[in-house]
Amino acid sequence: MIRLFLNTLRSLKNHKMQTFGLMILVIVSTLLYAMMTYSNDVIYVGSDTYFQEQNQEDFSFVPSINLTQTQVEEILSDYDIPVTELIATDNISNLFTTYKVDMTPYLTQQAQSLADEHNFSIEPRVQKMFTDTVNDVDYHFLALKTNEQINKSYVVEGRLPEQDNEVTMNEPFLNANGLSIGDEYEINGKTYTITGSVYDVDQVFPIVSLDSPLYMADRDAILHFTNTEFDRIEAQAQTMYSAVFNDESNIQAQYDALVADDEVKTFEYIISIDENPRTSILESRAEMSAVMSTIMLAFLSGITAIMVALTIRRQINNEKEQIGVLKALGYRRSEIMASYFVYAVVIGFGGAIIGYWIGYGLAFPVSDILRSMINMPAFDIHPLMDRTVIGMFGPMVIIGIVTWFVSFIALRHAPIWLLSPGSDTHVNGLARLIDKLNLSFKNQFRYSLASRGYGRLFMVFFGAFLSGVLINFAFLLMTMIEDVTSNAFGAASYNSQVQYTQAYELPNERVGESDEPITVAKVDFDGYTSESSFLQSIDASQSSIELTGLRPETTLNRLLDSSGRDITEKVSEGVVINSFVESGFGIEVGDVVKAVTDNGKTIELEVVGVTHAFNGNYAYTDIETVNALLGYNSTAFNAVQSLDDKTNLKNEAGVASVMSLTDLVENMTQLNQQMTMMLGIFTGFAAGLGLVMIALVSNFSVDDNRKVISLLKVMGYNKKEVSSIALNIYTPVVFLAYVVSIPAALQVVTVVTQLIGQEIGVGLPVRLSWPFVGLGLVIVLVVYYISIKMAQRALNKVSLQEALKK
Amino acid sequence: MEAIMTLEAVKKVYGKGDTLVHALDGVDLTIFEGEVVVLLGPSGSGKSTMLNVMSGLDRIDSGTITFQNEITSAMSDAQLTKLRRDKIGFIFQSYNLLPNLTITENVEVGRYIANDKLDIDQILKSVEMYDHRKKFPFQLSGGQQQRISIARALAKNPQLMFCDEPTGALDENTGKKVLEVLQKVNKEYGTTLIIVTHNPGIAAMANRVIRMNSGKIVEHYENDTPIAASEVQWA
Ligand SMILES: Nc1ncnc2c1ncn2[C@@H]1O[C@H](COP(=O)(O)OP(=O)(O)O)[C@@H](O)[C@H]1O
Ligand SMILES: [Mg+2]
Repeated sequence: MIRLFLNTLRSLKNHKMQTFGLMILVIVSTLLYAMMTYSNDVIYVGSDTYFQEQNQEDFSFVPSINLTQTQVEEILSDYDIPVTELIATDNISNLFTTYKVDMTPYLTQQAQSLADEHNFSIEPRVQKMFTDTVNDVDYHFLALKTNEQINKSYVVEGRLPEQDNEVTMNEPFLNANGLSIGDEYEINGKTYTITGSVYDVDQVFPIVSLDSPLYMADRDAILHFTNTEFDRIEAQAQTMYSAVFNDESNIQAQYDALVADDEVKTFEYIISIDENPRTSILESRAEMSAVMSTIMLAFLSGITAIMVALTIRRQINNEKEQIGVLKALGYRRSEIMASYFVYAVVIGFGGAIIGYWIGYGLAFPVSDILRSMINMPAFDIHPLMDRTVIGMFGPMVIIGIVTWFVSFIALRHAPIWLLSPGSDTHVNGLARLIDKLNLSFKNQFRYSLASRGYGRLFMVFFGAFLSGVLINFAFLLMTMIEDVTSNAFGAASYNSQVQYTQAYELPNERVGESDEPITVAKVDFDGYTSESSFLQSIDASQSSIELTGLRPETTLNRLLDSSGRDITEKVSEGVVINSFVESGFGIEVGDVVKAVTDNGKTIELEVVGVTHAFNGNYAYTDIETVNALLGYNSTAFNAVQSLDDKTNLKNEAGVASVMSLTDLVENMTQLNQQMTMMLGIFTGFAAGLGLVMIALVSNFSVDDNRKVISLLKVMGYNKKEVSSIALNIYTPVVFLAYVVSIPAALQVVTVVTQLIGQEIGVGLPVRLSWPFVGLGLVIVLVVYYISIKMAQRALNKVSLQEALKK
Repeated sequence: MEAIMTLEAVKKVYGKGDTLVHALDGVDLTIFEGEVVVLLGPSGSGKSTMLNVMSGLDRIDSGTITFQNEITSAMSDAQLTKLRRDKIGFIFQSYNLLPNLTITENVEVGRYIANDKLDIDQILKSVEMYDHRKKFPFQLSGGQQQRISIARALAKNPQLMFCDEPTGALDENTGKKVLEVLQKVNKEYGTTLIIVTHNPGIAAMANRVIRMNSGKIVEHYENDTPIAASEVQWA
C-alpha cells in the first residue's frame, strides 16, 4: 500500500507544473472565499449590535409648518417683517428664509406633539454643512451636534470635544489624510486639536456635500465640536428630527401607519432608516457581497474540480498498464483507488490550508479598502468553525469525490484489457471529419493532434471563454461608467448655477456677460412617479423634477440627444426630458405631461425629445413657458447659469443655493477612477485564471503527445515546427471562444445593469467599445502565448530517445 | 566507393562510479555510400547506443564521428537537427505511425520538412502500399505499418537510413516482406542502410556485417555476395 501512495506522490512530483497549477486554483478559490467572507464580516457582521447600542433612529423627519395666526404675528414682530411683504409673497418659507427666521422652536413644538400622538421619542438632529478650500482643494465638512439619546456617536478612540478648540473626525477621513489623535487641524482659519475618532450611526454612507454627493474619504469629513463651538460655525444649521418608536415590536407596521396618516401633510419630509440612502444600501451591499463570494467559490471550485478530474483521468490512463499489473497481482480496486487520494490530500488540503489562512489574513487590509467608502467602525472577526471546515476541507472533499469517480470508471476494466496496448486501435470521429476537410497538410496534422483530446479542447475553449467573459464584463462596465460620467451633464458647459429666492426682471446686474438667465421650477409630472429612492433622498426633496426654462439660443446648456444631435431648439415646442427622467419615470417622447408646482399651478406639455444626460431629474422647456407657469413676466428669471465660479455667493441674502457643476464632475470622475481601478484588478484576475487553465492544458498537450513530439524531433523537425504542430493548435479555438464570450458578457452586463438600474431607477447605457473588445482579445492571446511559452519548456525537455522506446 | 560515415575511437559511458557502463568502448568504423550494413549483437551490447550516436540523437564522450566530411560529433543541436532533417531517415521497431492520420498523411509527415521531396504515390508504390493509401494505421497489419514507416523515412530521399530492429515485432513472412522493401529502397534510391538486429540470418543480405559485445566491435567483415531478402534464413 505505502508503495502505491509513494508512486502517486512521485507522479505529482514529476508533474510539478500541473501539481502547481492545480494547487494555485485551490489556493485562489479558498483565498478568495476566506478573504471575501471575512472582510464582509469586518464590515457588516457587527452592524446590528452597533446600531442597537448607538440607538440608531427608526426614521427622521421634518414636520410641515402649520403656523397659527398668533405664531405668524409673533414672527412678524420679532423679525420686523412688514405685513405688505407677507401679502405680496406667494411663498412664505422663502420670505422667512430671506429674513433668516429661526423656525426651530415652532418645529420642535410640532414634532413633539406628533411624537406624543404616535408614541415615539424624538431628538433634534442638528447639522451644518460647509466647505473649506485649502490650496485649491475643496474640503467638505458635515458638523453634527452631538446627540444624547438617539444616533449616539460611537467613539473608536479618544474622546468627544470638551474645549472649544477641540474637534473629532470620522475614522475614514483621519486615515485617508494620515491624521491621528492629538494632531492639530485648521478649519475655516481656526486651529483645532483632534481629540477623537468618531462614527455616527445615521451616516453610514455619508452625504457631506450636495455638490459632490458621493463620499470621498480624503475630502469629506464628519465633525463634532462642543455645542458652543458648533453654534459659532458659520453655516446654515439644518434641523431634522430623529425618531425611535417606544414600542420596539413591529416597527415597520408602526411606520407605515404613521406615513399613511399623512393625508393632511403632516410632514415636510420623512424617511425611514431603510429608505435613507445614508444607511439603506448597507443591507443590499452585505447581501450582494455574500452572494458574490458564494458564487465565486462555487465557480472556482467547479473549475478546479474539472481541471483535477482531467488531470487524474490522464494520470490513470497513463498508468493503465501499471494498474493492470497491480490488478493481475491481486491488488483490490479499493487499494489502488486509495492511492489516488494522494491528489485530494496534497492538492486539495495542501492548497486549502495555504489559501484559507492567507485569505483570512488579508480580510482586514482588504476590508479597509472597501470601508473607506463606508463610514462604520471595523468589527472584530474570529475564524468561524463552519467556514473553517468548509474552507479547509471542502476542496479536498470535492477533489476526493472527483478522484473516486474517475478512478472508479477507469478501474472497472479487467486486467487483461488494461494490459493491452490499446489506444491506437481506433480513430475518433473528429479526426475523420478533419480528414474530410481539405486542409493544408500542416493544419490537418495539427488539428488531428488536437482532436485527440476532446477534454483538452473543451478546457482551452472554456478557459479562453471564461477569461473573455470576465474581461469583457469588466470592460463593458468601464465603458458604462465612462459613458455615464462623461455624459452626466450632457453638453452643459456652465461652471455654476445660482438659484435665487425670488424672480428678477431683465436687464439685471445679476446677469453679466458670461451668464445666462434661466427660470427653474420644482414640479411633479402628474401621474408619474420615480422608482428611484436613491435620487429622491440625496436631495432631501421628493421625487420632483427640476423644470428648467432655457432660452433656446443659450450657449451654456445645450441639449444633445443620444446620437449627439443638438435639440435645444425643441424647448420652444414642448418639454425635453433627460435620460434619467425617461427611464426613471417611464416617460416617452410623444407623451403629454402635466407639470404641477408646489402651490398647485399646472401646465400641459408634450415631450418632444430626450437629452442624453444622467444628472438627476431634469426637464427643459422654454424660459417663457416656465415664467408663464410661475406667473412671472416673460423677461423674468430666478436663476443664473454662469461660466464663472460663483460658489462665493452661497451665503448671500436672496441666494437659495449655488451648484458647482465643476465640483460635481470632479466628484464623479474620482469615483470613476476608483471603479476603473477595481475593474482593472478584476481584469487581471480573469486573465490569471485563464492563464492557469490554458497553461495546464498546454502542458497536458505536451504530456499526451510526448511520443509524437519525440518522433518529430528525431525526424528533424525543429523546435519551432514542433511547437507549432503540437502546441499552437488551439489558436482557432481561443479565437472562437473569445468571439463567443463577447455576446455572453454583453448579456451578463445587461442583466446586471438592469438589476442595478431597477434599484436606482435609472436605465444605464450598455454598449460595446471596439477598442476594448480588441484589447480583450490581445489580453487573451497574450495569456495563450504565455501558456504556450511555458509549455514549450516542457516540450524542449521531451527526449529524442522517447520515440525509440519499444 | 566513397565513405559516407566514419567513427574514430568513439566512446560513450552511462552513469558513474559503481554503475558506470561503457556502452561504446573505443569504436572505429567506416561506412560507405550505398551499403547495407547489419549490426548484430546480444541485448545490451551497445547496438542502439551506436545507432543513436551515429544519427546524432545522442552525444559521445570522446572520439570523432564524421558524416560526409563534416564532424558531426562537434555540431550544435540545431545543426544536428538540420542534418537529420535533410539527410537521415529512421525506422523504429514500433513503427510510431500517427493513429489519427491516414497513410498518405503519415508519409507526408516525413516529406513535409524535406528539401528533396519525392513523389508520395511513387514512394507508396515502391513500398507496395499504394492501394492502402486512404486507410488509417489501425486498419493495417504490423508489416504493412512498418512499410509505411519506411515510406515515411524515404519521402525526403535521405542519404542514410537507420533501422532499429525493423523486423523485431514481425513474423517471418511479414518480416521478410519488410526486408525486401528495404533492399529495394537501397537499390532504387541508393540509400545507405544501417540495420540493427539480433536476427543473425539478416546478416546474409548485408554488404558489411558488424558484431558487437560490451561496447566493442568483436567481429567485422565484408560480404561480397549479399543474398536477396526473400532468401534470408529467419531465426
Ligand atoms: N540511457 C541510459 N542510461 C544508462 N545506461 C544505458 C542507457 N542506455 C543504454 N544504457 C546501457 O548501455 C548499454 C548498451 O545499451 P544498448 O545500446 O541499448 O544495447 P542494445 O541496443 O545492444 O541492447 C547497456 O548496458 C545499457 O544498460
Ligand atoms: Mg537496443
